[in-house]
Amino acid sequence: MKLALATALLVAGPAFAQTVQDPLANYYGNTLISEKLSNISPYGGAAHVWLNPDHTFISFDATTGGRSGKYSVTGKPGAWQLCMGYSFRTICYPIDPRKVGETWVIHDPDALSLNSLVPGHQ
Amino acid sequence: MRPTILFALPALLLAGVAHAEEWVKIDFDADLRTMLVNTDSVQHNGNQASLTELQVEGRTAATRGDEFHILVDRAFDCDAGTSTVTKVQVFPDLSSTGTILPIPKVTYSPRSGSIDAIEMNIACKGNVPQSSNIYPSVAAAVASAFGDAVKLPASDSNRTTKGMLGMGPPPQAGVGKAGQPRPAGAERPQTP
Repeated sequence: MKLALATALLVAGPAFAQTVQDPLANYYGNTLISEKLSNISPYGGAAHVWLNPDHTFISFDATTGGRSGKYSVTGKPGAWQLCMGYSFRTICYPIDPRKVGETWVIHDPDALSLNSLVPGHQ
Repeated sequence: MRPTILFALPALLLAGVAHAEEWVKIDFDADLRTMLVNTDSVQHNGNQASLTELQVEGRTAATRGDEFHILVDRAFDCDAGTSTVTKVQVFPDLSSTGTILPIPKVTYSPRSGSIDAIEMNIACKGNVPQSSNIYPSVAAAVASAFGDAVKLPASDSNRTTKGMLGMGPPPQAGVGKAGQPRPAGAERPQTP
């Protein structure tokens, strides 16, 4: 019995830890859509971002086509930062754990932006 | 019966005035997201002005749904030349009563040439751009804007699977997607 319990904990442990500790867990396999609510330029448009568990990302919008790179997550619960590495510079955005289907507003380095987490890669 | 009608008539007229809407198309962005302003919502008192803006998804509607739209209330300090977003209400579809999102209180100076700058000009100076796209309701504006967006050929969109293939480095600063110089004032594309 004890062996079974220990085995179950060993198996479940990493998955549980990932769920609790990884603020981006629900983002993997889904799409983050981000668009500006302020200082909106005709050259803007919504960005679609795919974040992968291996800390790589793909983002694309109607202006630039696609980009890819690596990201890191820093901070602590309630104050996470998603830092995305572009060739021109690294930009960090506030980010929180979200459920698929949620829509929220943040103040990112550029402007107010409206964000949604939608299912699948779109 | 007649007195009832007499009493009811002014109330109906007032109600009609209170709900008058005139959505004027201001511009759209690279994602074919259309921005409209309800010119009947404009209020101007001293150096303070405000209006309500409607954003209708363009190509991103394929993801969020073709009736997804956003109402944004904006307040302006006409003397300081600043703008503040005071309310954001998201509607997944036309039958939705909308969700008011909590927003940080941020006051900023609209960039020259931005849609925000155009709207500040409307609210503070009454300069409503000439437009043939005027709608009496949100529903009419949403339907028309989405219809306009989907008329454009899919090849116009970089946000396709084709656009994802062979992704190279991002465009050089100051150069547009097709190697064309980015217009003056064009900012860094929306990220993340």
